[in-house]
Amino acid sequence: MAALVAVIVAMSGDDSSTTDAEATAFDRAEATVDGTPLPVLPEAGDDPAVGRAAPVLQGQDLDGGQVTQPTSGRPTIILFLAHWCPHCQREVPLVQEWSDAGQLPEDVDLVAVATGITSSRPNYPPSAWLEREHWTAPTIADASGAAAEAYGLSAFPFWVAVDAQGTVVERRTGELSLAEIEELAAAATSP
Amino acid sequence: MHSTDVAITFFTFLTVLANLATLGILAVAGLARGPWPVARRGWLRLRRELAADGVTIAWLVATVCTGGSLWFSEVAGFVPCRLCWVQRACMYPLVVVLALVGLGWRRARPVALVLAGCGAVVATYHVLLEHFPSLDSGTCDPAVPCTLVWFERWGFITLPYMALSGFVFIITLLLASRPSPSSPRRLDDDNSIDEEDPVPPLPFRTPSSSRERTP
Repeated sequence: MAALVAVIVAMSGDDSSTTDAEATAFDRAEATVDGTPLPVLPEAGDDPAVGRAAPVLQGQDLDGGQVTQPTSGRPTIILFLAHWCPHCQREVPLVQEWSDAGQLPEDVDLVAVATGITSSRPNYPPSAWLEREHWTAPTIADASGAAAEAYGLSAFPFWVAVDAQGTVVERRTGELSLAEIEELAAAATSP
Repeated sequence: MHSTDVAITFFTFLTVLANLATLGILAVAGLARGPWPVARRGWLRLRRELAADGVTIAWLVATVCTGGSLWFSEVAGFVPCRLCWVQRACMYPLVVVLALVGLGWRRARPVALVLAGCGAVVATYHVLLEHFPSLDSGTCDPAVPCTLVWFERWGFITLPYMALSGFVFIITLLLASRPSPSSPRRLDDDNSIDEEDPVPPLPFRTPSSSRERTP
């Protein structure tokens, strides 16, 4: 019995040392929202946010700098990510590879929002996860969830296409294929 | 955080134990269909043992699963999702239903089988969803997603896998301990088994049952 307890304690020690990473200032940073919040994306039917002005988000990036998005004059794709969501975990490397291959159109900005940050959930903290994935896109830390709420997030991953005038063109949920991401980029650039 | 790790490892150990016991019972049952008289005798002996104690073991499994489920949600803070709740709705009543079966209320036996069966089906779907998240909507619910894997040991032991192991072990115990037509009295009267029992008692018999055996 004592041996069993010893084995259990030893095994627990091993596991915790490999999974716990230190949270950084990024993981606690809150985003500020400028603009009227969008309604929550309905599960079916027309999206009431299309044609409305996209709220402008400002917050801390992974490297400690400040990010403000979307910026006027630039079509933007915003990707809301949760560190614990397996769909987001699979989407991130896909998008990174696509971006590394130079497939992101020159005139489109891609910005991520790290939201749904919960220390008790798996794959915490998001800073360690995104670093591990060599994530390069500007990323806004949204520890309070204010940015996600302002965009009417209904599920993860959450995608928003904003055109050069700062108007919401399309919102989508779920793991998108590269073709679908390219459609979203095209929708953001279409006049 | 550390106590959570210890609890996960403890329940992982119990899960593996339940898996081995289930496979053991199924292996003996399978071998008994072969031409070996030893295997057949072993299966009959195992069935006699399980006819006496199988329901009690099943009740213990349901009780430990219920305790573990409550510990993970209330102490460790793992918020149960929609699928977790269905599995809970199957596991928690089993504590009462299996107690009734153990007390001799035979009509409760099919109820226990149905509950454990439903639980096993939902747990199987939940385990599959953990490995193939796209089976569901392809998205994660922001509040309590079913796709969230709270922990994973050895690449396959997760919370719904633990539930599945419990349900399958309970089903196996219930089926292996069901009264056979040739010995209708065995379940009700523990003493009658031992009087006509040519097999010596196994070493892991509980002290209380050996005391009952002395005339």
